[in-house]
Amino acid sequence: MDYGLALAFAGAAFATFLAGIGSSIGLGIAGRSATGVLSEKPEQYGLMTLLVVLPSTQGIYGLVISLFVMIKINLFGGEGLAAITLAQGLMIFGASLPVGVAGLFSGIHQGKTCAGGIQMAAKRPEMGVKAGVVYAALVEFYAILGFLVSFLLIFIGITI
Amino acid sequence: MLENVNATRMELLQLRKRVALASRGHRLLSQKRDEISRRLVQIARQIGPLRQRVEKELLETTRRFMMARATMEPEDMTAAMDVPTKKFSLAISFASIMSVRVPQIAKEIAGDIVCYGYGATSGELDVALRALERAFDSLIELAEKEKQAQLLAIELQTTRRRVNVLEHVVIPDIQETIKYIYSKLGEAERDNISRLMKITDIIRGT
Amino acid sequence: MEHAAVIDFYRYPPIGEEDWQYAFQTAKVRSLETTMLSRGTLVDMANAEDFTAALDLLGGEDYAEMQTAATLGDVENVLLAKRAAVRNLFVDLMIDKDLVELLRARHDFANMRLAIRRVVTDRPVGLDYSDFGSVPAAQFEEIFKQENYSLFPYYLQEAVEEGVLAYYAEKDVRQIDYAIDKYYAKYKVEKASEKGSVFLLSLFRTQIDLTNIRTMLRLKMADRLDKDFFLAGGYVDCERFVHGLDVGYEALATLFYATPYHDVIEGGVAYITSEQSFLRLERLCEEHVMGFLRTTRSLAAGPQPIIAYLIMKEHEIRSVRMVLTCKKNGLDTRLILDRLGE
Repeated sequence: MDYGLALAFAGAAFATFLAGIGSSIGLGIAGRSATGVLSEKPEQYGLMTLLVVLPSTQGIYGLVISLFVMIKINLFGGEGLAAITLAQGLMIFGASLPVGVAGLFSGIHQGKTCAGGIQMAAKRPEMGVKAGVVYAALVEFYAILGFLVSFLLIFIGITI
Repeated sequence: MLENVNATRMELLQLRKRVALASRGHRLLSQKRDEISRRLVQIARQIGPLRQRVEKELLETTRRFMMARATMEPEDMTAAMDVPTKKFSLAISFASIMSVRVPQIAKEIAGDIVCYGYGATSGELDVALRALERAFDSLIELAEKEKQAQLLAIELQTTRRRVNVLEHVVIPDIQETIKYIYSKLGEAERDNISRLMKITDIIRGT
Repeated sequence: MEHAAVIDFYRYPPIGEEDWQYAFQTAKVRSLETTMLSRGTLVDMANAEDFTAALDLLGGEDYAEMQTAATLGDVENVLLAKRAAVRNLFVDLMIDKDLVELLRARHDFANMRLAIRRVVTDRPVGLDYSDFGSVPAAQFEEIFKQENYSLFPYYLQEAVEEGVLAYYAEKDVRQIDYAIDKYYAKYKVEKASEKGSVFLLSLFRTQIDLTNIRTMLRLKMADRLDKDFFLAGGYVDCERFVHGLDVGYEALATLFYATPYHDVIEGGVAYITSEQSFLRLERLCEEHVMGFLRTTRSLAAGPQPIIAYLIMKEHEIRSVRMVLTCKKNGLDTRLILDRLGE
């Protein structure tokens, strides 16, 4: 066992862990806002739920990247873990960071945007999808970029 | 009255004196009546516009006060109005118009009517209270005048009744009695004369 | 901490940062805001034919209980119940209880004014106080009877002292109000900056300015030239108000040209000189505060929208009371609209 593998593990962990933090904070904010609105207007449940689940995607991206890393290091294969040099380990670690960090910040901010959208939807339900969802989706775009970069780096950039 | 009259010359003289007295009283009373009604008309003429002004002022005050009350929190209103600083006392004295005792009101006002701070109260309340303060003067004057008018009106009524009684009952009655006594006395005279003539005839005939 | 009278904003002072603890509360308040009466409804009520018609217009909205109200007494009861509900909701929603205490202090000081007035004029202290302060209404009589002022929070103890001293200096009950108003203004500005609440500090300083403007114009109308009625701590310094007492009505707008209250003064003064009435001034002052409170809409979470909701709802309740009272008593629609705004 060498440090390369340890770094790869850390990369897999960070991807899920940072993106997960982002998603859960975002979900928490959006969820609290949504319950606030629902306590007065239960009929808006559908729209509220749509807006609340938007920040959950960052966590999923993180998880997917972690899984790719695990595949890369042959965690699920039969013949034991792949031998990874320190340099490769660092590469994997670095490649995991974009999704983690982008997920962390975009998750929080998407949550806030969703909260704003939820409050607007409480006053103008007809704008809920048009503005609330679309603006939150714009934040999502940068989480996707992070995911894309991590994905390309791991699959194309790193060969073991 | 006519039944129990002593148809004597003495009575006639007395009645003549009474009728003279009654007509003098009648003349005096009707002069008093005219004077009171003149005064009354004078006061009534002042009351009309005064009353209108007071009513207008009070209406305005109420309107503003209502507005102030409606736009302030009820608690602030209680706090502002609870302890007044305005001191108000009235002294009543009596004057005499045509020997009628009429009240005259002297007022003594001290302190500012705005009895609260400026923090939690509406400016409209200031305006309402100041308008009320102004309305007070006219209001007191109005009260004084109306009471005078009322008292004079009562006096006028009694005087008029007295005049009427003198004019239509007492004087005609006495005059009728005088006429009656006069005719009674005349009859007695004629009676006497015819009796005397009869006696003269009797004396001449024998 | 002294606050310099510097105006570093254009129209409305800053409202501070978001606070995500308040995500739920803010969202709830936002939904509640949708049930508030629109300006249109109030104007329609003012234009309604009579009291019943105005009541009918109101019935469809948040004030369904109002439908059965026949007299002004009923209206008042419904409104008081509504106001109590709003205040209780506010207390429930606020996480930072210090801010609640600070906003409640208004009622404590109002109660205190009344209690001191009664005590110094040897009247019974009584029980009819506002129950929304930090000190329960029922305690006032007890505390004053025992003269045990240590039961009051410290700020009220100082206020009692100031109020009583001011009374005995001139034997004039109005001095109590002036002293307590001044103390309250000082207290709320100090406390808000101590709590670091940018929003409350802005709100209080704006309120102080507007009170000063009203005081200035009221003194002007009464021809009183006393100079120490103004409250310190606002954005506009007291000297300017004192100066305002000396100049004519027509020069006031110029004097306040560089302040955010230029419109308030201009509109208010025009109405005062033409109608001898403060209706429009008071409306403009309220609108200024409402405009400031509306800027909290840019925050997605924080105590600001909740405080704003409380104040706006209280204002709405006062407006409903005003319109219904005027309708019941057959006041001119024009007057109602002057007070309410078009």
